Amino acid sequence: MNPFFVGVSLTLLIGAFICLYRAILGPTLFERIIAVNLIGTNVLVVLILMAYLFKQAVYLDVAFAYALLNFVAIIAVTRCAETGGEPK
Amino acid sequence: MEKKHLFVGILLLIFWLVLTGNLHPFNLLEGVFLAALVTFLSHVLLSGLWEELRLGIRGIWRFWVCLARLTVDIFKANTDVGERVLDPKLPISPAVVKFKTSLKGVLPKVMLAGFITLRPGTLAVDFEGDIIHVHCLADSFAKELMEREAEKAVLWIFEEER
Amino acid sequence: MIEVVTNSITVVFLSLGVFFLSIGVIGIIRLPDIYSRLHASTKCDIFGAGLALLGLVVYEGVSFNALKLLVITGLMLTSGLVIGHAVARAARRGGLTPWQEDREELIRLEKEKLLEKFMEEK
Repeated sequence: MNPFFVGVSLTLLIGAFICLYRAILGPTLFERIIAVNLIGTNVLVVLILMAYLFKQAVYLDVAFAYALLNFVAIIAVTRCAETGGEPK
Repeated sequence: MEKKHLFVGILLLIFWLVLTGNLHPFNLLEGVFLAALVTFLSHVLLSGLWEELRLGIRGIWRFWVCLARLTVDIFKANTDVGERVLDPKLPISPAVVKFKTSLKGVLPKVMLAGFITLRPGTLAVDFEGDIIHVHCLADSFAKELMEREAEKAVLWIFEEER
Repeated sequence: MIEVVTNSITVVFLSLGVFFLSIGVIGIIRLPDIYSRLHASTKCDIFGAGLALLGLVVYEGVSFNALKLLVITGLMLTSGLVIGHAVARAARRGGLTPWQEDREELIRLEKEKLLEKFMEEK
């Protein structure tokens, strides 16, 4: 199964790099937010695959913390944008 | 110390046990202490919200049944978005419709917004009182939305039986 | 024997999940405005990541790590929905108007065609 997992991880990482285009050049703040969210999801799946590639269960905890942090960070940035944290 | 505090504390303890993953007495004691501490620190958050989040055992069961039915719709929604995105001509004609709902309370409205978002071609954007603004990817989805399938499902979950 | 079955289920689920996640990425690049990009990102995010994680749960079998993976899956589902709604609401309240197909242009073209037909018949 290991070569398959490596292939899946590489595909997901290429997808994350393509998302970087939208995160850098997005016309508004919100496009950047959803691009960062999608990068976070891809990297989360890659982290869980790494737990099986390297046979270390610690990566599952890292993925857990990563998912929670991703959620909290994006909600905080969105809240800030909605209530006028960004100059218009 | 009320029922809600006990409930939240036990939920946090289960979360701690899932994260740490052993049942050593010291670990258990630590979990009980931390759960009590977090419950005490967040009692301001729990004061107003608790009454809104009530859902009986029957409601929870029906929620899972609805989720299982929704899986087919989620699959359809994803294939639809995939077809539209991979088509070189990009065949979309977006429209924003207003949808008036008869549901009361916070939890039913949140669930309705989630169901609308997971259905094919529609995305719940904003709430203004009873009116939801829904963004549709094409006009045909707006007609489908007006058949109120999602609202019927939420009404079925929250059917009163007290 | 059982391993062959679970491994093939894992391969199918992971491939489908990666496919839908890639559709989300392509949608974010190609679609014209923030709301239609949210269509692609929210739906494909939830479904793709959910399928991939469920495939790994099948690969893991019945164990403590599988429970942890299931909790992560539930977290992904709820957080994806909440993020989609929060971004859409902030975008609308920030005054972003949705992209519209140029319908007046279409109607004008249609009228010209009708006029030409009419002249030819005359």
